[in-house]
Parts: sequence; structure tokens; C-alpha cells
Amino acid sequence: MSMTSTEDLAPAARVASDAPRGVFRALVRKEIADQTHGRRFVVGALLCIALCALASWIRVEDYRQSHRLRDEFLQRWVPAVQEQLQRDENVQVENTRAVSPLTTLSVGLEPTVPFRFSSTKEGLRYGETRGAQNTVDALFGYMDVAFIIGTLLSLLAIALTFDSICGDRSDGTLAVLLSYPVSRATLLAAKVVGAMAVLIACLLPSILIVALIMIVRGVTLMSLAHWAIYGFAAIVYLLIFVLIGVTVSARARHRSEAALAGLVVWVAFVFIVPRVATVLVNGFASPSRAVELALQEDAVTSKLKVEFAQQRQRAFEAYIGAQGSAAAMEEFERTVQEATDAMRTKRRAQLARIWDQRDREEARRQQLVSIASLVSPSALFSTVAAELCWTGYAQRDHFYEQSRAYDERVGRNLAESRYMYFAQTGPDGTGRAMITRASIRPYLQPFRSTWIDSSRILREVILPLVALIVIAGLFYFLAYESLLRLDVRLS
Amino acid sequence: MTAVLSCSSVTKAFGADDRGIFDFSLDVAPGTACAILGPNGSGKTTLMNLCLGYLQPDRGSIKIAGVDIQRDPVKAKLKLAYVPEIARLYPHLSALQHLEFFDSVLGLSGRGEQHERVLRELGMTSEAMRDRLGTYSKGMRQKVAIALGLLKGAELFLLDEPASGLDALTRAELVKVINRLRGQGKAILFSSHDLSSIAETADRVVLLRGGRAVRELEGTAFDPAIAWSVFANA
Repeated sequence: MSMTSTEDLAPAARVASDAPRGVFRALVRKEIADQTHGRRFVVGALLCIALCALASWIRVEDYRQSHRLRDEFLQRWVPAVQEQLQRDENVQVENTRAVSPLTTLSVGLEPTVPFRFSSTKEGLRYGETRGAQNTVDALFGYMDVAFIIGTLLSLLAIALTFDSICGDRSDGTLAVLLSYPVSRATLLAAKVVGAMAVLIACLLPSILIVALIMIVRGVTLMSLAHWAIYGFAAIVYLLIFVLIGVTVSARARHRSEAALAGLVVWVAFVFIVPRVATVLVNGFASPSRAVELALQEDAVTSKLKVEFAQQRQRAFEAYIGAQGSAAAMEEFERTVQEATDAMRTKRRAQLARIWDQRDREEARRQQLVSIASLVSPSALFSTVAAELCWTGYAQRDHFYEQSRAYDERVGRNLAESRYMYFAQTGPDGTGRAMITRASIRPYLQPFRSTWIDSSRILREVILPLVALIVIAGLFYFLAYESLLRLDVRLS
Repeated sequence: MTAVLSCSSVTKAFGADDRGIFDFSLDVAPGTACAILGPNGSGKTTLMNLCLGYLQPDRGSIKIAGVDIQRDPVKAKLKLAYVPEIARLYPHLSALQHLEFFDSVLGLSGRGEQHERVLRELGMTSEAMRDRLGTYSKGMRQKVAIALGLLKGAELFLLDEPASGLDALTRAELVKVINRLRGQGKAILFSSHDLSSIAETADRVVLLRGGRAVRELEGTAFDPAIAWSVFANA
């Protein structure tokens, strides 16, 4: 490295004013012309467009399939309940949720959220996820636009800038250019704006194609405001990598050294930092805690159910002992109703405690995730993209809240609408049995998903967006400092 | 006559080692050329960086056409032209496109005819000035950098190792260009570590050793043997 120490920095290098006007414009025009002239831009743009088109095709088809599946479920829902009644079985309803139509832009947590859930007598049961059905994507990696921006375009950002300074320096261009009244601040701004313009030129047609595929295949689009935030986050994210590229370029002596350093930094930021964050988060707040709490939930419900069954059985035996008189029937029904109410109240209280604990632990885990992702631009960008596309933490939490509320309001009443009683009346084993039936008519409604609203999404994305901007600011400062320290003439 | 380049008691030291420039004074008058001769590490690079404003002197000042490069770099830089040792510049642009681009940096446009005239005067053919710089020889690239300085209206030309890697013919051509600049009243400062270089074309030769001017000779009196003896006693 051929660099001078800080105290050697000349005010002439730091000066921010440029005598002739339009220097910045001339430099930006030159940067854009140089970049678009090169093969890197053409290859990058074509790859970006092709991959975005491919990703949106895969995701849109996947979404349409889930939509069809859900339609079939909804059509079968009422007949399935009625058939259970005809067979005089316990009613057990199964529900599905809607999959986000915006997975093309960000798959996010979508494959990890249960696609089905059922209200059984034993409690609320979550079924398999879409990820469990989609084994090909699980094996090869989910591809969406956020992934393409996060990896391909960030790599292109490095590829466009890694030799922007060291290349000009070894060609002598930098020394000639800076012998003109051009400040280093202007030079940096022009390099950054030029590279960003080229990256946006790659991204824009890709996004248009994605939107077109979504429209043609009849998939809901995001609101314009959400597109704007998504685009803004992508631009800030790519700006960080452009600045990394320029910094590396200003610090390296040769093109090959800069290329290697750029690649290493890219791998570190895109692959290593988010994984290290994952290891740390899992170390501090293990995801298996959720399973432990689910087991606790099962144990609590089961114990209450046993207690309830015993009370019911005693009431039924009392009724049989009273020779089934009308007064005994009334007494039986009253006792069972009281036991049912008591069991439900206790269950609600105990489950609320466990769910509270689970929510608290999940919130703590999410907090750790947000703190850990503050050091990873990739994680921050993924978070913003997912929240905007209803595939983030907020939408997932919303689904869990909704499904629990549905289970309380509808599912429980359906699942506990039929009870069978049996009592032995003679020493030879003869007995009597009875089935009690509650009306399920008011509860014949399948689960309907709702989406979190814009204000909730905005609350979720504001912190990662600010963090992205701060990181970009830090890298701008670093790039500027590196440029100031640069020995312009290769000696 | 006022000097175009005026270095007065310039000192720039790097850390503990003996590298840098110490108490260096030099005036280069218009229409004259000055050669800075010295082995590697003698301070030539530091001196160039100081003249270009890339480094700030610890003591002393450097004025270009009467303007202190540290106090008013914008104005001073408009008065100087720099010709790097390796001037590959933008390999995919032609000489004319280079001149056009650097004009736009200065906020100028529509000087196409002037561009062609300047390049022609430097001995470049119409076809050559439209070829990509990537196909040029070192000598031709130097001419492009000199043309940039002329079009900028520079009064001082800083040439970094201009003769290194040139064949005899190109070297003779370079001497012609330097003489032409001198004839136009430009001040020239060039550095060289090569003793059998074009130092003899300069009006004055300053021998640099350990960051200090150890000997100053009239160009006509220059003899590589003198330089040898000076440097050998280092």
C-alpha cells in the first residue's frame, strides 16, 4: 500500500470547492459512459433481468398453486364438517392461511410459517409449512428479487467499482484529473453516482419485468409507496457495496489486489456476517425453546381435559344411577356445563400464561435478531424487503395471533361440540352410552387471513432503514478518508 | 521576470527516516526548463507531489504563477499541467475525445478546431488523433497529456520521468516538444533518475540527494560524469 499518514494530508486535497461549474456533471457523464461501455454492465444487466424473470416465474407459479390449494380447502371446509357430523364424530376443523402474493419480491419467513392449522379437542395444532411441501426450493435455495439484489447486484456493485480508483491511478489518469481543479470529494461523489446510475439501470428493467409477470399472471401488486420504500432500501443497500468497492480500490495498489479484497469483503458481508449473527442469536435465545413451550402447553391442556372427563363421567354415572329421570338429566347438563366453563376458563388462563411467555421469548429473540442484523447490510435489507412483502416477522406474529383468536372464537366450539359418555350398569358388562351435541351453526366459518396494515409495516421497517442509511454514511466517510490518504501518483 | 514555479525553503519530512525534502528552494522562470536529477529515494516524488498540491509542506511555500498551491489550490491548479510517467489515461477514448472530456471538466465546450490544431502542432496526424489511446505509444500519450496542459492554459508543465522507456527517435521528438513549450514561454520542471536522459536539454539541472539540492548546474555544462561523482559520494 502506498499511502501517506493523516498529518501529511494537504488542504489542497481536502478542498471541497471546484472552480469551473459542471465538473461533477462532466465526471458523472464520463463514469456512466465508461461503465455502460464495459462488458461488466452488459453481462450484469442481462443476468439481473434473466434471473429476476426466472425468479418471478417460479414464485408466481408457487403462489398460484398455494392459492388453488387454499380454494380447494375452502370449498371442502363446510362439507367436511357436515360429514363429520353425519358420522357423529368429534368435529375437527382444519384451516389454511393465505400465502403472501408478494413472495416474488421477498420469500422472507413464508416457507417457515405453518400453512395449515387445526382446532382439535386436544388444542390448537399447527400443521406443515409450505416449505415442507416445496422441497425443490428448499434444496436449491429460495430465489426471489430480494435475493438477487442481495447477492448478484451487490457483487456487480463491487465489480463496477473495485478498480475505479486503483485502475485510474495505475493508468496515470487520476493524477492528471486531480491536477485539474477537481476535489476528491467531487471525484468520489461522481464515482458513486455513476456506479449507482448503472446499477439502477440494471435493476429498473428487471423490476418492470417482475411487475409485468405479476400483472399478467393475476397476482396482487404492492402499493406504490411500498415499491418506493423497497426501491429506496435496495438503492441504499447497493450504495454500501459501491462505497466498499471504492474504498477497497483506493486502498489497494493494483487491480488484482483490489479484486481479491473486494471479493473477500463481499463474501464477508453477504455470507459470513449474517451467519455469525445467526450463531450468536441462537446461542443467546435458542429456537428450540418454542418446542419446549409447546410441550408445556400440551401437558397443561391434557391435565385439564383429564380432570374434565372425570367430572363429566361422574355426572353421567349419577344420571344413570337416578334411572335417567328428567330432573337427573337437568342436573347432568348443568354439571357438565359448569365443568366445561371451568375447564375453558382455566385453560384460557394457563394457555395465556404460556403464550405470553412464548411471545416474550420470541420478542426477545427478535430483538436479538434486530441487534445482530445491525452489523449486516444484507440482513437489514432482507428484513425491510420481507416486512414490506408480508413475509416478515410482523406478518408471522399477526398470523399466530389471528389463528389463536380463531381457535378461541370458532375452533374450540366446533371441536368441543360433541361428547360421548359411557357407563357400565350391570355386572355382566352391559352399559349405556350417550352423545351430547351443541349447536355448531354459529361457528360454521372457515379461517380468513388478514394482512398487517401499512402503518404497522412502516413501524417495522423504520429501524432497519435508518441502520442501512447509517452504515452507508459510515462507508461514505471511510471511502472519503481512503481517497484523501491516497498517494495519487503511483511511485 | 517573476518565476512561474517558486519553491522557497520547502521542507517535508516523513517520519523518523531521512526521506523527504529539506529546505529546498527553486525558481523556474517562464520559457525555461529545469531538470531534477536524482537516484531513487532522493525526494523527486515528494517534490512532484508538493508541486501538485498532493502533499502539504511542513515548512516553506510553493507558488505557481504567484499563487500558493495550498492556499488557493483551485486557482493554482489551473496554471499547471502534469504529465505522468505512465499516461495510459482512458484507453478506449481517442486523443480528441480526451481533450473534449477535460474541457468539460473545465466547463468549456466547442473547441474542436483548437484541439486539432494543438495536436497537429505537437506532430500528431489527423488519423492518429482519432484512434483509441490504447493503441498509442508512450510518446504519443505524452503528447496528449501536454496538449491537455496547453488547452488548459497552463504556465507550468510538470513532467514525471518523461524520457524513461523512450527510444532515441521518440526522445528526440520529446526534446523538440519541450523546446516548443519553452518557446511559448512555458516553464518546465521534469524529474529523472536516468543520467543519460534528456537532462542536457534543460536550462538548469538540480542534483537531488537525500532530499537536498546538492548541486546546481547550467544545462549546457551538464555532464553525466559530474552527476555520477555526486551520487557516488552519497
